[in-house]
Amino acid sequence: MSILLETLSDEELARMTQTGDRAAFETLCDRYLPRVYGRLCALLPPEAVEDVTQEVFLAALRGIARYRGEALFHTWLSALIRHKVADYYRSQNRHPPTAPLDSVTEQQTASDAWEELSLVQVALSRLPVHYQEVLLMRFAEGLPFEQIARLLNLTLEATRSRYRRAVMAIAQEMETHRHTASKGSRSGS
Amino acid sequence: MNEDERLQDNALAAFTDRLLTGQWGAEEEHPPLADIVEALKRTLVPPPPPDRLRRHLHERIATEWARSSISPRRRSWIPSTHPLRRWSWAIALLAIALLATLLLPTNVAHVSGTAVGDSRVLILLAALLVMAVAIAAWRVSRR
Repeated sequence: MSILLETLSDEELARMTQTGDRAAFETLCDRYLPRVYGRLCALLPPEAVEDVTQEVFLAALRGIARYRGEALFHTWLSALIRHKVADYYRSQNRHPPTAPLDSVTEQQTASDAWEELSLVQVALSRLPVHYQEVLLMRFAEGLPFEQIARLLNLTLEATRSRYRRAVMAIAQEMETHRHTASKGSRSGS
Repeated sequence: MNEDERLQDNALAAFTDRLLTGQWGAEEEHPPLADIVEALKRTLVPPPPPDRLRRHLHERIATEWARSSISPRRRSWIPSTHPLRRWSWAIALLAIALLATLLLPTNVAHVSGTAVGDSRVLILLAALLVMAVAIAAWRVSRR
């Protein structure tokens, strides 16, 4: 891969892809693969992550002509990921996990780690998008707060504030879901 | 935002940064919500993508690239998908149709064996038909 391409911004690489430069798109893929994969690990069942990751990049390639550079490439790609996640759950005729704790409690087959992942996925899927975004950027994509602030066009102070509110919101959702699940298992027994 | 909230925001952000970089000591005092941040770290921080996935992705991109019309950039007969340009294009087409309606002579002699009628109405109808087909084609191409 060219060293020159690696120094270009996402938006410049997207424009070069539009003019027929395949190496530019491959550079974008290499740059974004860990982030896209990370996001999808947080949003999908493990067995679906690799397929949907590939689908995201292929959809980006097919749709790159429609990218006009009005939004950051990261924002455009994040929207595409949300669509692909929604498509996945629609195609499976299911919603983001809604009651995994019940089944785990009843069957006693899954590990604590899986149970915790399911709980976090449920809570995350119920948050407003702007809270989801800040949590996914910090944990799943591993971006520092300074970069998150730039991508969200916020001050660093506002970004940290939104982050703490997002953590409070997911804590509330996790507690609500634990409460619902324990009520459900009690009434079921 | 008051000072107390700002301090809490900064404390949680600093805790998160140090936790994610492995610099947080277990004996240090944890800020409020630290247990949730630790749960988020355990569940949301992913492993690196496998090399196999990267290889498959590049192979699929190569296949898709060869099959698609991206190289060179696809030229659509509709100049742009931007709404403003699309409307400009539609208005220009309508203006041409109206000009043609006004400028084309209507008192031409009838030719036997041809349809007889008001040519202005026919031109206008043809223009509307072209626009309808163009809009339908654009909607299909978006899917």
